[in-house]
Amino acid sequence: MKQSEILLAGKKSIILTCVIAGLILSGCSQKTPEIDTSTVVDTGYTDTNAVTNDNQIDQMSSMENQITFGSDEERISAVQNEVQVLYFATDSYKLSDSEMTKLVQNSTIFNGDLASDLSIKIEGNCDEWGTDEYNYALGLKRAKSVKDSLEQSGVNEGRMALISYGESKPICSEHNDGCWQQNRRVDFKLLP
Amino acid sequence: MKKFLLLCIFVIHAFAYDSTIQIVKNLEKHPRLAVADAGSQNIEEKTKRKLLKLLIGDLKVSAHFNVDDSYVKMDYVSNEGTATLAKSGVELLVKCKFEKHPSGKLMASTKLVNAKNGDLLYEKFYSISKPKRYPFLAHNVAIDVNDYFGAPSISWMKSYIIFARYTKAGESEIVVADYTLTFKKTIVSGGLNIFPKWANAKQDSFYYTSYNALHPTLYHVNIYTGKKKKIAASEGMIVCSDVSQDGNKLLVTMAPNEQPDIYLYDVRSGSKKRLTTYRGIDVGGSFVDSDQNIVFVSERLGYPNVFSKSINGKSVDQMIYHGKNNSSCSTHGKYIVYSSREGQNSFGKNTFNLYLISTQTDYIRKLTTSGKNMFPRFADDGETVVFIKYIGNKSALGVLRLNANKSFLFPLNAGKIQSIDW
Repeated sequence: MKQSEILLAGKKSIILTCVIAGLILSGCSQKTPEIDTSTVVDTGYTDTNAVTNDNQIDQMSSMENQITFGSDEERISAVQNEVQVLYFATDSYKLSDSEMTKLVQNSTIFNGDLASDLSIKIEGNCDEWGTDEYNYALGLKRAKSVKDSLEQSGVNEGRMALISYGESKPICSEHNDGCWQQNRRVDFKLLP
Repeated sequence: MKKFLLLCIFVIHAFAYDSTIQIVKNLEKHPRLAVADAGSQNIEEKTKRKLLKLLIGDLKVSAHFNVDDSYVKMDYVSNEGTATLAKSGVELLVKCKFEKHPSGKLMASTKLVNAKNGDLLYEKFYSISKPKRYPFLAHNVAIDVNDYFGAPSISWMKSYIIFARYTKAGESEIVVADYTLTFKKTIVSGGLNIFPKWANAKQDSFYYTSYNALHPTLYHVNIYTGKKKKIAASEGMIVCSDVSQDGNKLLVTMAPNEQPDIYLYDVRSGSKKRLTTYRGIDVGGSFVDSDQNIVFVSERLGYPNVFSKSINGKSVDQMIYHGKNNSSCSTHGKYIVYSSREGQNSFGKNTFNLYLISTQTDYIRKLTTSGKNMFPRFADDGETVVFIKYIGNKSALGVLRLNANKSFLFPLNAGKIQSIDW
């Protein structure tokens, strides 16, 4: 099997688990429905074609579980889009609880079948406040903080590399708090 | 005249023995000086006007003269019109005649005249082989006028400023300029190139960080030969923060163990010694006390502040007991100039101001009063500080004349200054 034809089994199983859990929970919360058996009619009709059709549908479902990428670039790009950016408070390199939740979700993606062979470049960024040299160090500490937490979440240390871009790569260039918040972040770049 | 000016300068310095003490009452008796256009040959009117404007600006920045702004046109040889100027209060006259030689050289003939009696104090001639560097012609004229009166030297005006400017997200270039940013020459471009630092007093080479390889890499470049040499690379970041007086040692902030710390790097042997070991942020090392100690920025108290330590010792001393965010500093002798974030609201007005302290007194002098003023750097004279002032998406180079309590701004038309050195 090619690298680019890896099953999304891990992701699917999570979704399936969620669906099943949802059905169980929704079932628990409702009263037992009353069924009006008078409307059920046994026709005794058996259509072999219909069985065949069912098999085909099953096969199609099975095929849908396989996501095929034309290239590694496509695969990396698809996974990259799922990875969440992590944000920080002013002058801080500590992850808040909400960002930690996002980090754990990212770690699941990094360890999933689609990404487990990829290297992870962790890029620390800052807003425009503070002296640039200090900001480069602050960006590095943010990246390091994320790396340590990812390692604790099971991501192999050897796959991760750090870099700080200080304030050189702002996403937003306006001068307001909302904009600065977007720039105090850690980005992830997945590499072959 | 010369004796009078010397007396003025003596009095100024008698009051200004400690630069942290702000001069509230400036002496009004700076000699009044006018710059005269005394003709030109083979040179564009626009260039001539720029040269005259630069010279007037330089003499103002010196803060040793009361300079007339008005345009004065006079003959280079005769003294006609001098008496009229004297009647209006002008005491000194600098006559300038500019010429472009067929070889391409730009030349200036200058006379310094006592306007009151028409006496010629001196006549000097200047030339510059590369006309694009014409601002240095004006700077040299100003330096000589200033030196004639024995005023504190302004020879820093002929030093080159080197700075990095962001051109767009993730890209920056390194530029060499005169202190007014009138002359600018881009010497490194393409990708992310930051933190340029002159390698020696001769300013023939510099260090800078390139982000164009796998890891941030520190290079040494000779600006005359173009020879580029890799010094070191480090995961995460690497910055040359300071160069020792003899040019053989560097203070480098790097993170070989993913931890930003300050290292002493020996240029000749290539060896490095870790100077700081705090698990948080230590950056911006600066040599002091004949390179035996360093001053640096650390967040070991929970916020960025300035500390010092010996090159060989372990104990660390807090240098500044003011402000809650002092993230950049520069030293000269007993003085430290630093940038401090003001107020509880970090995004309000008056956010970053510059302060000057002496290690030997308790005085703190506020040098700027508004805006975002960062990255202060002392000139060799210890009386002049350059800094970056950010105004919206633009930035300007600021020049502070400490003893005269004056500041000047030179805006950068394109890009945003990342860091400076001179």
